[in-house]
Amino acid sequence: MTPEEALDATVADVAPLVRSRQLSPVALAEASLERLQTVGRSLNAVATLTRDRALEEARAAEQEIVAGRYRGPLHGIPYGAKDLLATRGIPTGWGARPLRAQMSGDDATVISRLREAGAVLVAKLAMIELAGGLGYNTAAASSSGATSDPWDRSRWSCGSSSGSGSATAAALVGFSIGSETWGSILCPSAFNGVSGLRPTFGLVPRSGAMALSWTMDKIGPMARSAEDCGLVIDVIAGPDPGDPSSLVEKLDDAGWRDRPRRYRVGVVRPAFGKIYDREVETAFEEAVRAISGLGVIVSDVKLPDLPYDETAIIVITVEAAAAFEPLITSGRVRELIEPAAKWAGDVAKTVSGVDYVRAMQVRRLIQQAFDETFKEYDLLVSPTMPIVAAKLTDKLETSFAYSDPVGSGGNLAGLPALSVPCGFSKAGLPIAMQIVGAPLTDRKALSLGRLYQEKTDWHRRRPPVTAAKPA
Amino acid sequence: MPRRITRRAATRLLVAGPAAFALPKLLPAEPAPAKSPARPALTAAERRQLEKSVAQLKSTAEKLRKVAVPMGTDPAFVFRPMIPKK
Repeated sequence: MTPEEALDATVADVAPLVRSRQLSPVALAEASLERLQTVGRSLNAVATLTRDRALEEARAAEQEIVAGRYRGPLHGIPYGAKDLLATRGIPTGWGARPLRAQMSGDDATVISRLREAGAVLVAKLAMIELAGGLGYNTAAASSSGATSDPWDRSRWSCGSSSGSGSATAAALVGFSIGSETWGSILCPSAFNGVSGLRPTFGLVPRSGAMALSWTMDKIGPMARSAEDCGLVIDVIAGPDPGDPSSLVEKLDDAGWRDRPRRYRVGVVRPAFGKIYDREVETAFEEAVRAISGLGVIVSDVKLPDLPYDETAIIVITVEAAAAFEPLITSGRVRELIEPAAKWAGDVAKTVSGVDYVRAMQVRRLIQQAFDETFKEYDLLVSPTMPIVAAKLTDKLETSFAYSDPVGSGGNLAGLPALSVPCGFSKAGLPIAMQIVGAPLTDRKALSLGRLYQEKTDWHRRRPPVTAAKPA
Repeated sequence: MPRRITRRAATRLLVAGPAAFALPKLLPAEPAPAKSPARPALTAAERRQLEKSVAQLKSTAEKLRKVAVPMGTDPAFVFRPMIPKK
């Protein structure tokens, strides 16, 4: 396997070749940097190339492996990180023009853990400005410009982990790190046809990451298989004294390599209404049939009638306005691309403290509702997105005008969710299914995702990799 | 708290959360003020959009006020006291 071919493969396929010295980490890093510079730039997927650091880390990995000190499956694998994770000596611009030159003195905990595992940081990846914390209505609301979907460059990669989704799909990196407050890992995973895990809230520490919503932000892997997501989560999960929200509890002991026999799987068919793309429905129903053949017990489930989306809107709006208060009061919010960001702080301040606490009480009811649901089911499945990738020029408030109870409720309750590709539209755009678990059952979701991917090949399909700009 | 909290540190804590004390090096520099006035007047069109956004958010909050939340429902906050390190 050449380094270029290795970029198209999964980490699980490449790692044994790195370990046995059939693949050089330096050659892998160089191939990745070359693709990021050409294809990555043409997709607007890159915020900063980290060439010097990448080659330093790759050389160190190569020397260690030659010396017989193999650290594990991420050793020598090139990866990219969403540009909201602090990296020592490299700009961390949060996708926002006024913060483009922002520098950090240290690495975020996730970056440190990946470095310890021998992974090679090749790029900071593009993102929507402030991860959409002050709102956004266009794909172009990023200091990197609108990030294209490599399956169709006139389509959007989705946000806010836009570059992570696009770069992973186009095989510019072995895997990437994204973050989600509401949809920011799952949507880019779905639109780009990659596997992405939103972990249980608190499982992956956020020290050194931009805060948008302290009670809802999560950091997680985006990769080319569920198995690869598992390899990454094994490295980045775990308690951290620097993050007061990080959990000390461990993941469910059921290893993600276990066979998910007899799991009880609830199928949630959301009422997306007119906006529901019938091709998504067809692909999802086919995926449910495939899962039914895997030895799990499948039945329909309906979520209790609660204001999931409204609760998430209040919580995120208020917390984001507090998180970005220095930008708002300094007036630099006007340098953001999204025009409505200028008054987002004023809008948020109309929510009273009582209303915010009320939202957090309703959030507790939502948690309890999911807790009851998971007494009957091990996992839930649902379409990740009701639509295929939106056009780069679309007004997002129109394209995304649907209720999202599994997404908003899942994020409010801190539930893990894995998005896996489950088909393509006639126009060749990826469609995805999400597998949602109870808190700390991330490995159950990974286990089912992995088994599904053993029986299907949607996750092995790759978009054409060229450096052409959209027409 | 093992040390006196200055006003500046308290502001940072408010913005960055308790992690700011644990890992102060990771904090970004506070953004420099914009060169023009921080709060320029909005245009009439912008003001209309702001009012529309406020109305939507109020309507969202109103929906939550209609949910029957049992008295004493614990909001989804957890506060952990900082135990002094030995």
